[in-house]
Amino acid sequence: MTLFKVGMLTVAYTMLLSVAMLVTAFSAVLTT
Amino acid sequence: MTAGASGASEPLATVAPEPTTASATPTPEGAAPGHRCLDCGALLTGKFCSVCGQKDGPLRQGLVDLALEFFQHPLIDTKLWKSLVPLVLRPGALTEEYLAGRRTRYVRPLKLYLTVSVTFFALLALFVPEGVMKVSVSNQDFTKGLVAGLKGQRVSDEQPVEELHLPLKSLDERFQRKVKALEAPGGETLAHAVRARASEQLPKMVFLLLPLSAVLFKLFWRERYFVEHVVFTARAG
Repeated sequence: MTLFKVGMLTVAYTMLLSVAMLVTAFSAVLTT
Repeated sequence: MTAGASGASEPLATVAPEPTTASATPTPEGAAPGHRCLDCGALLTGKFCSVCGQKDGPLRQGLVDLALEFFQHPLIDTKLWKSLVPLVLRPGALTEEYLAGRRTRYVRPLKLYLTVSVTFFALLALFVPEGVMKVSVSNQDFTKGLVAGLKGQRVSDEQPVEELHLPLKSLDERFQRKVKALEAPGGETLAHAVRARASEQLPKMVFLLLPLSAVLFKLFWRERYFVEHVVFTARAG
């Protein structure tokens, strides 16, 4: 169960980082 | 990464349960008789431990207490070196120590997080030349890659990238203007400015990721308090 949670957390954290990078890119383009 | 949140790590140091003060009957000024310091185990005679200086408080802290710690303790002191080694080698164990109440011997979580982050980005700006960070792509490739990345597509020469439209009309018009300016012949200056702007915003995004990561951890380990996840993400981040 813990391994499953860690796997799911890794996927979720990767998605969070992707969204953060997208927001950073959009923000950089729109505010430059 | 999950060692601290799951509670699998052992404490760094074993705290001796024996009292280190000679007073057998403590004065009941803010402390119950026989009440011991969570950090060093000494008998408390007031609101603060007379041996290590830790303030007497509940084992579980709230978010407000955690935030107030940031202002109540010195930014850099000798505890920094004592905290950095376990932070690198066993960050989960450092979190366990804090959650067990042993707080005074290490730099507080948010303060350590800020100190390390500011030092990292300062060293990055000072010693890493701009050319190392710069990605050498042409202006056309940069625009194409950016638009494709925002759409979650792979860039290939055979398949042209479709136009990306933002949901809000005002934002979309602004975005399309920027994309056209980037694709224009003299758009290399703007492309450089966009890259520089993204580099500037990266530290802010890293700081924003701290509470978001804590929310994510809370979703998976609901039996833990949110403040515990904040402490762990601050240590691990």
